[in-house]
Amino acid sequence: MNSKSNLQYQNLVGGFESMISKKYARLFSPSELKSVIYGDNHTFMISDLKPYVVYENGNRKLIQYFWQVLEEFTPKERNDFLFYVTSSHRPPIGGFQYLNPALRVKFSDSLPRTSLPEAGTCFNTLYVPNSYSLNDMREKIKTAISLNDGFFFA
Amino acid sequence: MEEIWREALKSEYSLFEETDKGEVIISSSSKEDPQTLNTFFQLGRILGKAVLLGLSLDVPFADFVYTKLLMRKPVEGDLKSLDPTLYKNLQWLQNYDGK
Repeated sequence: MNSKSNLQYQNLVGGFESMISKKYARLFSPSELKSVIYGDNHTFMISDLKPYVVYENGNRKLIQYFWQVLEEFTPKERNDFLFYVTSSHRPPIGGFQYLNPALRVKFSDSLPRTSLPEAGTCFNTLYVPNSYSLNDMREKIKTAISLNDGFFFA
Repeated sequence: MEEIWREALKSEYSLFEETDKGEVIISSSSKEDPQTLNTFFQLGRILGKAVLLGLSLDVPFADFVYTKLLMRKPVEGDLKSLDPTLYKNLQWLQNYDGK
């Protein structure tokens, strides 16, 4: 585990240690250090994602419903949503403009209104029945993303 | 300080790279010349300073990086965050009962 980039890590750690002595470092656990450096309630802003989403077969109403639902999400729901569609809990470093392919919402008339939205994570695509009401959009997206084994295909 | 780190993360510098999980590790193509090593050292100092000041730097390091920073002995979870495939295969070997 240590052979690659060893010297580089040694230097990074050396610099860190020059500021935080071993005596204090010993008081932290790695997960506590992670909370300090990164925080544990991390999520992205919907406004960061919105400009980089593409749509297929949508209309203004459906797209509006979609964003209304996403704007209501808690931080956890946002992360779950991202994971559901892209298999990643985090946006790409640098922002969603680097998400490749771009996140896509495809409104489908072949998916019945009763079904949950489906994800094609290879293509960062969410398939949403175009018969959804606002309430369907809300309930079914939330349900889908909260399931750990969602309706994946491809 | 956050800006320095954000700059350092840019792929053009080949200092850090992103794992499949979207976490940050030192790039396997980073150089070992004195200038690069010094850059890592300085970045480490900035990291330490930020921790002292209670500033969150927002860099999603992989778990084993935190272990290294605290100079702990690596634990099982660290290998998992470095190389999930190797970890899975080693686990399989460990659990293999020879049948």
